[in-house]
Amino acid sequence: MADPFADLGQRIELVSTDRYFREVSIGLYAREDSEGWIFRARCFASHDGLADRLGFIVGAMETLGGMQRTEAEDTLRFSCGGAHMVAVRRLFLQACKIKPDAKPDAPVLSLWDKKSELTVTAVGVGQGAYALSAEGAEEDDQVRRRLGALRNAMVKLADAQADEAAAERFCFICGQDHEPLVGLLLQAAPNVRAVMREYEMNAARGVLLAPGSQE
Amino acid sequence: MNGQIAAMTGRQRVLAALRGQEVDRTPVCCPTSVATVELMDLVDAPFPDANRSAEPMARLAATAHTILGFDSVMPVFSIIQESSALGCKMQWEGKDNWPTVRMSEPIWEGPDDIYIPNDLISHPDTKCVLDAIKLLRRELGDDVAIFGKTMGPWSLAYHCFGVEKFLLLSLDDPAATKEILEKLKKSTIDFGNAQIEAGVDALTLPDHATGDLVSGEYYQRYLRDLHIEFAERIPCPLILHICGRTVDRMGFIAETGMAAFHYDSKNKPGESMDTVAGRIALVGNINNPETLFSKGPDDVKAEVFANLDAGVQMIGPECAIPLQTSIANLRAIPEAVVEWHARH
Repeated sequence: MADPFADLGQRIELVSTDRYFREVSIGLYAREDSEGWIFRARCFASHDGLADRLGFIVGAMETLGGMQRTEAEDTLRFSCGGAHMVAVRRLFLQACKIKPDAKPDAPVLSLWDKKSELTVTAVGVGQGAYALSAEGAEEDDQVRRRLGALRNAMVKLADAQADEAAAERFCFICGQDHEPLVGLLLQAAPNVRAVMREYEMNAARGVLLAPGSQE
Repeated sequence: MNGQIAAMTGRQRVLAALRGQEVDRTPVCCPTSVATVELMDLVDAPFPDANRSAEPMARLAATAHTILGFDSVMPVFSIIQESSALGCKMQWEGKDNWPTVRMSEPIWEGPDDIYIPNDLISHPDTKCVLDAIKLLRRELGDDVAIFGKTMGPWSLAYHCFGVEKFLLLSLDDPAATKEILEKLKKSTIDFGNAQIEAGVDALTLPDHATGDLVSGEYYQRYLRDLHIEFAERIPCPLILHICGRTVDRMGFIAETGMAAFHYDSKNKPGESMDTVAGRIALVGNINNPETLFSKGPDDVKAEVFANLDAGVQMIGPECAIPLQTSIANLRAIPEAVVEWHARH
């Protein structure tokens, strides 16, 4: 029997029970080849219909994150060939949350920010750099602080670099633009703490505690 | 590899290590559980089915050997099978979480309430364990060591009386505490012996007098003699499992006559080996939440090497591994053992 775990690379994210397909576990595996980083959604169950489910998730990652399929059906890469490990984990989790009967839309580069009551937009300024701006608002300290906070959230979610000279700017290390990915992550930026909590809760789940440590 | 010793099967290797005999290489085993959600998918044996039904239980347990390359298998993934049979209120959970006892709803108030039911080993949640052991023996033959698990009276008391209540009782009323442990030991012995009859090679005996809640002096006062009695009355190698920092009681544990102690990563391999001084074998110590779950194969291998360098007799994770642990990290354990022996 062929080893089902051979040549998969490193598992970087796991949905341990897929809510839309028989509670299977779907992992996102990453490995590097001559063209850069390649990602694969993989599940080890053998139910009928599983290939369609994985195909849907891969398709959603294409749309939501601007990734490109490779020759293999279930693998993807970014056009830059980069890893973008933090961002791709978020992208995968988001793709798994979309209902199978829904058609994912390419994310827009703006959001209504409840806290500031402003529409915040990300504008590409070239070579993987983006600037956040608040539409129709005067640039006072409060707005600048809010844009700075959202920029910091984007840095965290995209594993990007902050522009030290401009509090509202960040840049992908690969130096290339990733507009759909920026749009996707921008929607999560106001709730970055909730996103981080989700990672922590996922990490704590499935750890057996001694009876004395259980609630 | 030890060139003086002929190649051994996994079962021979584990049994030799448990007896303190020489081995061709250090065995890899986990006395608690190596189930993961990906392995559940691979053999179509998800929790909670794999905790309650013999066939999926055996299928999932076998993957420790067939997929991961461990020298042992353990079909009892959880710590609650007997507690269910005793009548505790259970929360079986889903595929990606552990079943637990609702300890906030204890079933007993004091020693007089304790009743070990006649169907303890024929209850569906204990019988499935016995049936799974038979299936594993039939399927895997003598190639791999089959472990069973029987819970010690301290752990059972937590489940049946509630953690806080039992710990307070142990402070306020030592006589009642001892009476409880004395009565509950029947479950440990009966379920252990039933698993031996079903075909296990060794039994893990978790008894959660853990380092964070119970002192070494407590272990000596309440549990050492009981554990000596288990070693005498349960006729197979016993592997005691206690989580947490336990160096303060390892000296007492080494006096029990048990074959091995499954120890936590909160104890350093060198200090632990010095403390037990060859009187009991050690197994475990590879950190679960930080290393096996969150880091990579190279970090796992570093911890394996540290144990081998210290002379630890069996290599494995410190406790039941997190259900989301990656296969690559688990496979790194036997790979590291082979690499280490190739260099020594």
